[in-house]
Amino acid sequence: MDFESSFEPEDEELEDEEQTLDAGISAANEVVSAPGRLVSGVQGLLEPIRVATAPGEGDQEQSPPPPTTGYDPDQLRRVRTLLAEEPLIAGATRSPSHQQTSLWMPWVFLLIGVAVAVPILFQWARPLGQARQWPGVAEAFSAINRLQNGDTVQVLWAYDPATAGELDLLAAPLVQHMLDKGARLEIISLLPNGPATARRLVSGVRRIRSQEPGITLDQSPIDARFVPGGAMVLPAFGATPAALAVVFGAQAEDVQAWLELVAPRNRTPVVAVTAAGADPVLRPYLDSGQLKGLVSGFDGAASYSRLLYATTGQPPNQLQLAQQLVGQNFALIAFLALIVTGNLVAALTTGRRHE
Amino acid sequence: MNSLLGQADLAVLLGTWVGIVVGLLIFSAIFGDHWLARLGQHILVGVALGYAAVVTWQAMFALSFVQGLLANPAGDIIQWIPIVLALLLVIAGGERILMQGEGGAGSGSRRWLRWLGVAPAGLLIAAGIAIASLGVLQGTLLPQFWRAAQTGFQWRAAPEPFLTGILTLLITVSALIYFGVDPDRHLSRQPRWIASFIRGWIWFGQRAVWLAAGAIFARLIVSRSSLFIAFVEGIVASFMTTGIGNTILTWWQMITGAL
Repeated sequence: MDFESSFEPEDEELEDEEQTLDAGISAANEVVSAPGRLVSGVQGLLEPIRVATAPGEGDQEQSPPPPTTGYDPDQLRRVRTLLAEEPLIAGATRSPSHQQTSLWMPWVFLLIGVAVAVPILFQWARPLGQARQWPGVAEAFSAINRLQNGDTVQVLWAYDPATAGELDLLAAPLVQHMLDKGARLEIISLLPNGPATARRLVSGVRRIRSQEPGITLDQSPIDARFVPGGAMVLPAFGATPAALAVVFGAQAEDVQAWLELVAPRNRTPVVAVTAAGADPVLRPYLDSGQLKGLVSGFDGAASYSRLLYATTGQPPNQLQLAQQLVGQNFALIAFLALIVTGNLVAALTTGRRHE
Repeated sequence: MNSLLGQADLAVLLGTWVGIVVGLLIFSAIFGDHWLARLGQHILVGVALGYAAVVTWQAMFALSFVQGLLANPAGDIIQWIPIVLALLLVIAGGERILMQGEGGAGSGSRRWLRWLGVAPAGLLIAAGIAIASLGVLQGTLLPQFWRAAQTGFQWRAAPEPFLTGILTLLITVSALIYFGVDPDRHLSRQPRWIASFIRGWIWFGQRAVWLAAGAIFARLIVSRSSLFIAFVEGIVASFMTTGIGNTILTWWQMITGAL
């Protein structure tokens, strides 16, 4: 293979651009999707910008078109955005079309926004109810409850401020539980913003706990560091013995990476604490015993806090959890109203069109 | 404004205001792709990238072999290899970024530079593929396959685990067939009964995947709602910090007669 010419296409190569492009299109239509996770997302707010090219991709090279599917580009974009586990805030919304009857997306957002914001603004305390305790929460509680004073816990802090709104709710009771047991947390993060997020949460839990009478927590500096290099560096942590490993991850991939690259090496039991969206992907790992416990979403946080409250005292985020429960109930009502309205509109307009 | 500034430390107050303004700018993206929303995103991404660059720089110097080299540069020559490879990658990448758009492959020295950049890039890719492949094999494929095989047909089990085992195996295999078999390509030359059987299995697998996607979608809604509730709470708390929240609350109480 002439590696040099493939690294940077020569001018004469570009003369055959049309034929190459045609061949590329036909090849792309037959290409099987690159292997990857069934559900995956990107960290951050914007689509990643490609800053480097692989050998064989010149500046003038035309990228092959994506394989054809049965969906139009807008449908594909929406599905991808919905299934990405990381929230994608930036996204253009379409103006209402006069040709077709459809809900204008900003109205949908506005309805959900009002349904969630009003109870928070007016501090409504109902409807509250009780969050469902999924399998894996009690097991996670038991795994942490078995820790002895001075035990080392490896912590992979795989979330940053983009998802802290949800993950802080989950991390607070677990961190409090581990600190109460006197565990020594060795926090690493593959995200540059991870250690700062970890320090903020751990110091917040320490501050609130130390205000309670009779509670004395370790006030030594928080061992949280950023490890550059991505998941490739994770096997290095498999050489470290620990009593327990806890992965705080916004995405399922972070937990999977730990289970694939670290857990088989040091055989340390793993507890996963994740966003609600990552739960279905990780549940098979709980069933297979690779995960000792799985806590996810606001309901996982509420369940864990309930268990903690029953044994060690007041959890640190009681107010936020109550507001989450009320907000989730109102959001659910808004979603149900939207689904019913959407189906009614669709049924009525379809009938009219048939006439 | 004095009353606002008097309540909290100036830096904290400024940070709160910047957070409120940028947060609302980004949030306004739900009304369309406009310049204010983009401005908010650009500020956020710029600040985040700047912070990430500083943190990465600090983390790089904290690496043990870098510390060893700083203490004794001539101590272990092998420790220089990662530094040289990293420099080659940076130089080759920098040349490519700076010279992009000029066309052609350039002079002989530029070609050599790019050649040298291929070595660390190839090493990175090869190591990445090896680690990821081994990881998937030992952490997902083998344990999950073993679990599915174990839960298969437990003939002496109670009805519930027995049915669960059969369903697990059936759904796993049907989803695998749905993803792996293309009816037009793979079944066109098969006997009619085999093609019909496999098509039925694909149909089942497709429904199983839809069901799984529905569960994921439901949990994603919960996840996004949690984030949104936290955002609203954060905005309300920020307004309370600045003093505006209390003023609005007082006005509201005056309007409703509660004060």
